[in-house]
Amino acid sequence: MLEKLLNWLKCIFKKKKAVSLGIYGSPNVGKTTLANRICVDLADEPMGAVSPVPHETRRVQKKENMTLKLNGFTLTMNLLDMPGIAVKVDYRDFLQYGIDKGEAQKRAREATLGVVEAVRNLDRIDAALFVIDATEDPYTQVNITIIGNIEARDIPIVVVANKIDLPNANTQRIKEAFPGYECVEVSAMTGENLSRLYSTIANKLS
Amino acid sequence: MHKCSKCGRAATSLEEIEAGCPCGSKVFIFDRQIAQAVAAEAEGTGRMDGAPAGNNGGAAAIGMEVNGSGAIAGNGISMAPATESTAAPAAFAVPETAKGKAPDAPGAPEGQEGKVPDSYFARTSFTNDDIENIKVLTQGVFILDVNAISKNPVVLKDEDEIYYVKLPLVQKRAPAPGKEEGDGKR
Repeated sequence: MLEKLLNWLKCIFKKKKAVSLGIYGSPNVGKTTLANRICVDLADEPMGAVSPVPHETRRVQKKENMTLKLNGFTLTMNLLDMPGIAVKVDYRDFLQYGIDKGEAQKRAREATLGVVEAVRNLDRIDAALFVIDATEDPYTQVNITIIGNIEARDIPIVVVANKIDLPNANTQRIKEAFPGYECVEVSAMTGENLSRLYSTIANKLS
Repeated sequence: MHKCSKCGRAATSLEEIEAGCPCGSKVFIFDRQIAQAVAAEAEGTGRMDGAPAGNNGGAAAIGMEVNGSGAIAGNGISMAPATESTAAPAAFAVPETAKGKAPDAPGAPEGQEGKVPDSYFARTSFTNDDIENIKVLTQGVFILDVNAISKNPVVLKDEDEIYYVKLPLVQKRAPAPGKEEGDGKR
């Protein structure tokens, strides 16, 4: 009887579980820039460093218990900025950025570990933002496979067409490539259309 | 350490595995206990790099090799090719030290002639530091950490230290009886 009473009290006072929102995508599509923008908007502090060198984010970065309040809807979420997912990590790609061979090989190793970590985290997220660089061809193995994996897990997903501030951005290609998904066009760099992204997240998770 | 499944003879090199055991068997089983014993003995002399000590946190040792001649083995079993060729890949040739021909060479202290070379363990074992679960020993010759592959995406590191990742493809779950497909939130 006492146990039942304790469980009932726990249910009443139990803090609402925060939703884990994972940001996925290939390297250099703007995942961390987007994460920083969301974190600054919701928590007034950035998530992590951004760099033109691919695989700058090599570990999952997490910002917990951020609150999104929109039109009377309140969502508590943990934002997870995932390492960029790639099917090949070649240390020689880093050499052109002035990184020496030893450091490049170390970076390649860490980046590969990050890919594994990101894939394993697919089982731990409640919703996903899949970021695609609108200036690039969206028909890639990573985009198709990871979106397929998220879909197979019945995880709500929003496709984010990023970098619309660039002149050669083509969001139509992304919509054509992934017609079954809600696609929000944003510029994480300038903050353009972020409010639409927030309302889409709220709609998906409400 | 791979040993012949028929006579139990230990193979000290990939060359031996490829050629097959003198007893006629072409099936070899990876025996971690022997490998660890040899490694411990070598560590005692300060030679080993610790390479063979453990498979991803002490998990069961599971080795698998596929060689260029089409020989395949799994779950700790390595199978020699069907051909009679005994030519070993140059990159995995057993150092002379292992054959006891050059005891003064680096890596083979006195009294260690005939011991399994460090390179054998370093290249045919997985350690906690390895993020790949497939190693390319040389062209067409691989070793697989099957235990890790069952839990992680397949990661292959080639001879040039370039990593390749095989992304998993999860099949969509069949809808529960009585539930329409497409009910899920998208």
